[in-house]
Amino acid sequence: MKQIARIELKRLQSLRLMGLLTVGLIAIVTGGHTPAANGASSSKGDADRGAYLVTAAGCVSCHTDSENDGRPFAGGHRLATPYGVFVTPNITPDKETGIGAWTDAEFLAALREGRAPDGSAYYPSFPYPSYAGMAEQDALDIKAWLDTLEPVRQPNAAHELAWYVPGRWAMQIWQRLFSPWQYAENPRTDPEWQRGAYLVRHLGHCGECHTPRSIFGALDTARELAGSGSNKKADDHKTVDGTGPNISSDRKNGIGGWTRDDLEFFLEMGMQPNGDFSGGQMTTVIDDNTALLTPEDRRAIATFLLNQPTR
Amino acid sequence: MSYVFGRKLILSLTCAATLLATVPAVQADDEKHDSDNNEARYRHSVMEAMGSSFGALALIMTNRVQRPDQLATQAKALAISASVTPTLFPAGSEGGDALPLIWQEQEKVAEAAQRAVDATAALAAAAEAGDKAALSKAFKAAGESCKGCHERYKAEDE
Repeated sequence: MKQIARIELKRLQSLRLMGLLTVGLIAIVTGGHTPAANGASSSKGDADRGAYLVTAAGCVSCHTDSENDGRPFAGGHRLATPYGVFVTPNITPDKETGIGAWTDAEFLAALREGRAPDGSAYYPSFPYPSYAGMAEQDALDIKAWLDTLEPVRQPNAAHELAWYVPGRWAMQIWQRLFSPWQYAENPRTDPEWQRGAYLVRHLGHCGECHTPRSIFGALDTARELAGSGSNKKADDHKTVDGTGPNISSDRKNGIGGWTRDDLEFFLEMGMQPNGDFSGGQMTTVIDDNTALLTPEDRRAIATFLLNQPTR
Repeated sequence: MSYVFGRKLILSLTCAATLLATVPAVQADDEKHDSDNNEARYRHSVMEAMGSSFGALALIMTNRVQRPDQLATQAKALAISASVTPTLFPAGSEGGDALPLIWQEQEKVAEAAQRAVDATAALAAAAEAGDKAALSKAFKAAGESCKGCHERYKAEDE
């Protein structure tokens, strides 16, 4: 089992190499590109609203080094992905090592466009191609709540990426080509479905693990939520970060056999309809995010997911 | 550039071929191992029993069946099944969904198994008492005790 996962990973890596080399080539041809700056916003966020949105956006799971009892939101969590290890940054309001010195406009640009205050581009391990669809007010509310945290002085650690992953300079080109994720026109307009789509695609960024990626590392949204490797386990017995099973409505491979009650109960308690409690990263997602949502929001997520096409 | 691409393609194909070649061998090995390993089968049966109890509890708790009077019974059944968890991984029973790491970390596994015993006993007590909020909390805690182990020690059933 382990061996299969390893070989599959190698195969993926060589495919990705081809993709990234191509991105590099395009970068050389087109030259650097800086997306147009978003107008600075003076609107103030609502910290109380922000607390709930931070939960729905799952910020704490990645920005906390839980394995080493790190301070919440101070970063340092190691995301072991097929591209190497991304070490998450400090998003407490410390002025030097966190994001305490950021303006609203800089926060919006980072969250929704993947652009750092110095103009450089973030790697998409930070799910800005999903967050791009976040309402401006929601993003500002999130910032307002993060600003209420106690600043933690903790410098960010460097990523440890695979040799074939290009530097951040290439991400400006990557962003121009692939971010934000594009979805086909929404087939439904009812508020519950729309809310579910917003939670799944944008705030909750479920697709970052559950949607397969192209060789360029971009989500293949035509196969939305069709799975990206079923919680593969790496050599250290941990699941590979950024992989997840098929949660489309396919009856065999996805969750098409689940009822709405099954799904809502799973999002709250973590129990699958067969009575199993599987581990993996979804444990953290349930504990930090879906279990803490309102029952109405869990219902909206279920409405959206159970009306996904079979994939 | 095309030279590099060509080499990577060959590398990819080689990896894919190796992958395909490995699959049947591993599967055959697993099957043989499992059918001879009655300890692994017993382990699997007990785990399935716990899963079934959890499933029955969930149906009652979410009012999908109107059997509030059977809540305590199902919780008790779960706790009884779970009480043997610490004995389920004897030396020499490697196999099934259980990863070999279990037998390298026996102390940690014993602790984790005991957590499952305690958490399900607490769940049974909460069901008996009939306190809805406490029950929900205890159910979640019991689930956590399962997940804690599955995360590290269970092979994914893909």
